[in-house]
Amino acid sequence: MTDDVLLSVEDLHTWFELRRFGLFRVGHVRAVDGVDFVLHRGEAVAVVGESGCGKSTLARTILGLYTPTRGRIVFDGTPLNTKDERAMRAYRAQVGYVQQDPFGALPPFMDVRRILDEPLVINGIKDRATREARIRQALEDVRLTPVEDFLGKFPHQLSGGQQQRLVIARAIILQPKLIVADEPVSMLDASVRVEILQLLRRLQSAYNISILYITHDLSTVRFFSERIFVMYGAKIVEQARTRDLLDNPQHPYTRALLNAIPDPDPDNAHRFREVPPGEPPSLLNPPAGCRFHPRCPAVIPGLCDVQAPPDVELQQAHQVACWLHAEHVRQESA
Amino acid sequence: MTWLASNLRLLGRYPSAVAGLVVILVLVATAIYAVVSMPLTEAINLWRGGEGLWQDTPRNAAPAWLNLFRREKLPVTQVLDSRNLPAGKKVEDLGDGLTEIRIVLPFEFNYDGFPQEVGVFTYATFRQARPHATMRWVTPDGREIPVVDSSLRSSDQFRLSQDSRLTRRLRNQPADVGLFADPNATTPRPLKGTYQLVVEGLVFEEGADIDVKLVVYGQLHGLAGTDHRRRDLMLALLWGTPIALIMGFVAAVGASLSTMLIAAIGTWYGGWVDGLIQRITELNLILPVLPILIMIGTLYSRSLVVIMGLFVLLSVFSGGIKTYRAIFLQVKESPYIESARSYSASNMRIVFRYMIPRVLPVLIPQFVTLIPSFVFLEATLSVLGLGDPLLPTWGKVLWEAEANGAVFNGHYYWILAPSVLLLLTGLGFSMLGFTLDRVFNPRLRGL
Amino acid sequence: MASNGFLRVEDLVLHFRTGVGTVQAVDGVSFSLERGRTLVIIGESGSGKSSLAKAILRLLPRNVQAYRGRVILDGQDLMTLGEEQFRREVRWRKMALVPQAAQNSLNPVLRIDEQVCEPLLAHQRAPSREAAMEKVREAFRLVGLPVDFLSRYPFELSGGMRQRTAIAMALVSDPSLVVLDEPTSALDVLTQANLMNVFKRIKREFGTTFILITHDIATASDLADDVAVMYAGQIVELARADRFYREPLHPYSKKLMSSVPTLKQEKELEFIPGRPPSLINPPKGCRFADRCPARFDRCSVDPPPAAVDGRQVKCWLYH
Repeated sequence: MTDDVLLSVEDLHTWFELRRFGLFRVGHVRAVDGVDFVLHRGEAVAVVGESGCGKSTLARTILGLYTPTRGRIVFDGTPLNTKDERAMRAYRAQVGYVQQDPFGALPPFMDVRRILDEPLVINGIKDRATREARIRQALEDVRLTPVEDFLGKFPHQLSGGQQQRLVIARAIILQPKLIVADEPVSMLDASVRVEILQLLRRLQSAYNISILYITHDLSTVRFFSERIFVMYGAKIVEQARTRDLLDNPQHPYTRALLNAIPDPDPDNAHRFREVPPGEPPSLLNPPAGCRFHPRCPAVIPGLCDVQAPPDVELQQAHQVACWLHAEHVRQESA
Repeated sequence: MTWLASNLRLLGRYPSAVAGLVVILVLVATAIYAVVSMPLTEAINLWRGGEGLWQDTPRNAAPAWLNLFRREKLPVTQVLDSRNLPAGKKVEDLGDGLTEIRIVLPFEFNYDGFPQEVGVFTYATFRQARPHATMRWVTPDGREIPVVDSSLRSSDQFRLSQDSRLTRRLRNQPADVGLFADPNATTPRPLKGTYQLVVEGLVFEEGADIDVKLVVYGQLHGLAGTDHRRRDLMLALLWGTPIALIMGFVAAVGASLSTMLIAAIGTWYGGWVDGLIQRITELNLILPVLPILIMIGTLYSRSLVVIMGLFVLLSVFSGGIKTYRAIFLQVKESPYIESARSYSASNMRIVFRYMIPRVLPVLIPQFVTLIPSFVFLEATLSVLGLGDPLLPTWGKVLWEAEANGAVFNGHYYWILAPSVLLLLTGLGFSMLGFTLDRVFNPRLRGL
Repeated sequence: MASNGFLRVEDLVLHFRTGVGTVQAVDGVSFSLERGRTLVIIGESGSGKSSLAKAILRLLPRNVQAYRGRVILDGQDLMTLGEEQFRREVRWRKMALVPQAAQNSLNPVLRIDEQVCEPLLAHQRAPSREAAMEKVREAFRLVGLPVDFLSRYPFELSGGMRQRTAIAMALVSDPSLVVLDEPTSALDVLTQANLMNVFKRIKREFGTTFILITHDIATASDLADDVAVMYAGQIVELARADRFYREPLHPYSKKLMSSVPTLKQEKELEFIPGRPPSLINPPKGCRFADRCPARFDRCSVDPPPAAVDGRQVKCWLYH
């Protein structure tokens, strides 16, 4: 269905120029290097990957904070024109941002009311009564009640969980269609994480908001998102419905990732885990061919180190970028 | 604002801050008093001096309160004016158009030292015929010494101490010694008791009048003493306070705000804007400020406004820019700035409403400690002779003291008073400023 | 639990003086650990777990209000040692610490080899620089780092490698007890798994005793032989790992376990409402009482530890 597609990302590249001494162009950090996906209305999708895989850059590009180097973003049927500042403003008002560091995301010298007022004022809501009503509604939505108690408080007077709820309130106050949450719970205590994730889930269903949930912690993904994208080396290597990915991972990297995450099981202490050797690839000089090939236990020499694998569509909306599944394609075209 | 207020309340816990604040408040109170009790134009006029303005004060007298510390008390200036003592004046009509006016000016002299000078000033009103006056000096032990016998102009001065004939009559002792000396003492010592100046004046017209003012110039005078031009130093010290404070404050505010704004804009826009600002700053850091100011002062203008304006301009692109830039660069990477961009806050809004409030805790202590340095700069320029020619400032007093050999002649008060005031200003603001730094800076570590 | 363990901590107390009151970070902690086993101390932020690490290693800040109790290592009560003696003989010789965010605690202006051999040279445990460097190379091999990294600077290494360097620094003087404070919290999943493998190997080859302090129950299970759960400055449950993970007893432990998402099994996730109490004026009764679903009237008095089945649980439900 194309009319329940909220966001369509096509061949997205976000590159940063690296200059030495401010003058000499040394190369490009290719943080997002050819990403395609589609996000439906009211859907929560998790983007999973380790640090340095480009997921935060992807998030920021979708938020309109970085300009894509190539490719396009189509939001709600309209392609994004990054040169039109007014269109970009209208777009950003539709995308809310929840950041990793709850305290850092809040200006320490503004109180709760002012923090929530800022997005409204900046985006042209002039009537004070409307703003006041929206602020109250947002605080109630995130369960920071009674509202009067919180309006005059400053960020340092709130607990970590409350701060993050305030960040979420700020993200939804412009009534966005999409929320980009970049590691929203990784700096919170274990017992608070569930609370915040459940809150996001509730907002998702109440307002039919789509959520792009960026994380490196796969264990929270199971109950939080409908689909999962796995990112490695600035590309998406596997996309699938959550259940499918966790029960039936196809890409060797996804498998290694799932294998490395422990459940609380005392038997873990008695066995070693299999972990792929090496380090994540440099985004400045990525390896040729498949970016995972230097660490892959199933590498096909002559193929994986030469040519980048195509996206292969498996059954049930499950996509993998791996030569193991594309062999037949290559053999056919040979 | 409550965030700022709660920080300031912390200040109360540091004794050095409280002490600094007290000193500053005293200075501010002094400044207010000076401004309220005398307008600036009058002060400038008085300070310029000139004939008649400082008639009643001695030259180079030390402060009067020194007597508290002396066993042998030195005389303080006494002024007796017949216009203020109507009881001492008797008018007697002698007929034939002649009128005798008899004025008696008594005063107590109980000091152990001789006065510096003795002067008599007469004020006569008449149409054509000049009045005549004879004056007699009556000592406590009853001796009468004739001192003046002369016709009077409309205003006349008789500096008895410089009267050589009187000196010879007093056995080669100048009036300030001879009129007061105890005749029976072996070492020169003034006779204590009530002295009188008896004036017998004759006027030859209807409605003519004579008034006499006797000034016994003390060795000590006033709260701060006097300088070589008889000016009461309290004027300069009092009026120097508001000048110093206002100038220091305005210059510091101007410089601090400008520096911070420029750093903020440069850091936010980055690129060539930032590069340009940094290069200007680096160039400026190498320029020798004081020699440039001296050059301008010598060749162009010594007006305070010009010099201080120039200094503020030169100090805007100071090392402070580098400090602020470091902080702004850090703040710029904060997550909350990024989120502000995600809801489309404009660049200016981010700079003014999101970055600068973060920096105010650094700005405030820096600005407070900057105030005394501007005050000192003015004093420095004045001491070098480049001060504003008109305004009575502390630096000016120091310059004149030095130029007139205050140290060699033992007029220490002349140098000490303005120095102490400068010291207090520096101390007060610095103590407050350093404590402000300590209070605000822990917050900065959270940057 | 055997009471003649390699490390025995009895009634350890550490209170700090701050501008707003006394923080009772460690409030009467007792446990015992046998040689070669790993004790995992699980606690959230504000439970006092990092202060416990510092208390054991006597790395005290200047504003200490109270510091008492007994820390008996291999039969010797360390609390009776003077500061200098402790520094020379115990710290970094018998016990070592890998602090939180250790990858940030490397000196950025010194080369790696300079830094890692410093504990050896400072404590004169190596006869010469060459001997010290040999031990350093050994430590690097142990943690799985290539030796040619020794001549680099910290900024040239990734976060995971720097963490491993910090671990090498702790191991270089062959301590018998190593305390790890959140060793993997800022690292990626694969790097974490790698590090856990390293610890497992060291445990197996050298029989080193570990104390692992973390908030992450799942990762802790990779190393745990014994588990201690810390809440508001006290240990509320102490048990062997296999018993604990299969069935936690204390209400807080139960809630903690059920708030941890699992990949391999479906489960209903719960969270704990409210906040942990402030360590400045902790409640008089059981410190978990106001968030506990099983609270009853006895809980207004602080419960002593109850012995259940070879475990200890600090809860009236088990008395």
